[in-house]
Amino acid sequence: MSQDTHMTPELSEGTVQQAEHGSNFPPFDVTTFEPQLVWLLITFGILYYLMSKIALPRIGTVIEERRDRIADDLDQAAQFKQETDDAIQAYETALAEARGKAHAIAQETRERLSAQTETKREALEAELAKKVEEAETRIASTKDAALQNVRTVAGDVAGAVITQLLGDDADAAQISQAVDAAMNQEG
Amino acid sequence: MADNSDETSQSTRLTQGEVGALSDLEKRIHTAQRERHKTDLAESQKRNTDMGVGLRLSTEFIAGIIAGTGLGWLLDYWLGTTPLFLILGLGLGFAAAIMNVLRVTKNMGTSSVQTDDTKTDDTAGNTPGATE
Amino acid sequence: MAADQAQGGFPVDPIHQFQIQTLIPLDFGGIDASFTNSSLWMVITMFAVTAFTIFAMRGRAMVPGRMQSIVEMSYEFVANMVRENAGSDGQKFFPFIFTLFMFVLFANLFGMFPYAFTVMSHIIVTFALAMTVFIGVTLVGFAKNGLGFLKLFVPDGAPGALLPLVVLIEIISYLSRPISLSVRLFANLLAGHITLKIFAGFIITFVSTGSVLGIAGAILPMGMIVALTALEFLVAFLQAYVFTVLTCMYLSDALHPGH
Repeated sequence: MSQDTHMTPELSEGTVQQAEHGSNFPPFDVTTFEPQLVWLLITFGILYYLMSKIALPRIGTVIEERRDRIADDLDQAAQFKQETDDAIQAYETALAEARGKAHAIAQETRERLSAQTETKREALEAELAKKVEEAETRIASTKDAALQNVRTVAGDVAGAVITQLLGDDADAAQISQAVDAAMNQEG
Repeated sequence: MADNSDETSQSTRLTQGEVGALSDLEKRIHTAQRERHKTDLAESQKRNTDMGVGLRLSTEFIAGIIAGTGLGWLLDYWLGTTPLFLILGLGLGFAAAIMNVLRVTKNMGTSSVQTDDTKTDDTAGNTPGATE
Repeated sequence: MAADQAQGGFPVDPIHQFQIQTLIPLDFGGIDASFTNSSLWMVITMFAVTAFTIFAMRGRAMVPGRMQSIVEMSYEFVANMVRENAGSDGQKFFPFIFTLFMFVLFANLFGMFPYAFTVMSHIIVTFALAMTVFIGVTLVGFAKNGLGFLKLFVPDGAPGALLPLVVLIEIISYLSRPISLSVRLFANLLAGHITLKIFAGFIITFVSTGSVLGIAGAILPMGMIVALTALEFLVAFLQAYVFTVLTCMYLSDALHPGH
């Protein structure tokens, strides 16, 4: 508000008065205007020259370069990502293929092995059966022979016992008949 | 048989982990690229909040009156018609002052509409300016 | 008068900080070019901006350091401002607008230092800058659009008979631009610095009473000063920003007067 009261006398009473008014309110002190304008022109002018000719082109170039670089890097990253994806895709198909193949091979091997085992087992079984049969016949013949021997011995013993007890030779036919009967009873 | 299945599941699990990392990478690349495009746009929108606009109103008004009155005073000074153009200028200056203020308010309206479309965040920044 | 009263009322004269003091009297062909405290701070501002923008970019590193980042941020900040407010054809004036922004910003920030002189607290400086913008923008408008630039003064829905009046008002409104531009910057900084000084005066008054109550009473203005200083830093930036944004808007009007 007080500034207005200062302004009006300055404006109406002319420049001589203003010099005396100088110290009242510095921003409205007209005598200081000239040097301020001169130095504003000098400093702002130099600064504008420095900015437009040196600083700004320099900063602009750096920013532009970086922007291009980042864009390039991102593109490259995306490309690498694509390549990686492709590689993974290829790997996955290869893996699936290999797995299928491995499966087939395993199956085949398993079948072949089981077939082999089967034939071997059958051969072995046949052999075993033959051996068992042989053993059985052998046992049977041995048993027959043994029984024969037993009969002979039993007949002889019975003959001897009868001779000893009765003093008389026994009928061989009767004895063998009795032995047979006894053995059949026993057996 | 059991050994075989275990091996395959292990190998798939490994690739799944890698795929997860890769999709994450892809997302990151995409966001980075999108953000680079956005910075030009969004950042500019954010700056468009006209935060100083509220401060304009009072000075715009005063400036309009000073300009009108000053012009009137100058005309009086040249033509020697002292109170005539001063008073006329004051009136016109008042009108210009109101026009200045209206223009600022209108600009604020349009800028807030512009930002409304793009970002809700900006309206929050804009409303205090509008109420000022 | 105001200054005298203030001097009586407060131990710190809130107006004294705006006093121009001639350091080296100079005269160039009748033009008073004395080197004053104002000139000193203009020169300091010039060197600071130069150092900031040129020496911080010395490395031109692909991955910027802290200082380089700040410089680049300032660059992008102003570049965006120009692009949004003045359009792509405003880009030609980017160097001027950048210089304007940095000059005002640094001058304002230097003004926050104790004992520093606030260059923009003088109406003549802000008015000179505003007039430079105003005249420059007007010239650009006529250079770009010829007489079509005058369309700026004719509003779209012009109501026939009132048209001359409306155009007259539009012209006054246009002429008021440098006034509002300069007064806003000047008044904000002036008011801010006066307020700070007054609160500083309160502290001294309280403390000089020597009593415990007086020293305790100084705490409140002290807190106010801290808050106000923070606010003033914001104002220093905001006013530089507003000044530049409006310059861009006026430039936009000059480039596309149809809007």
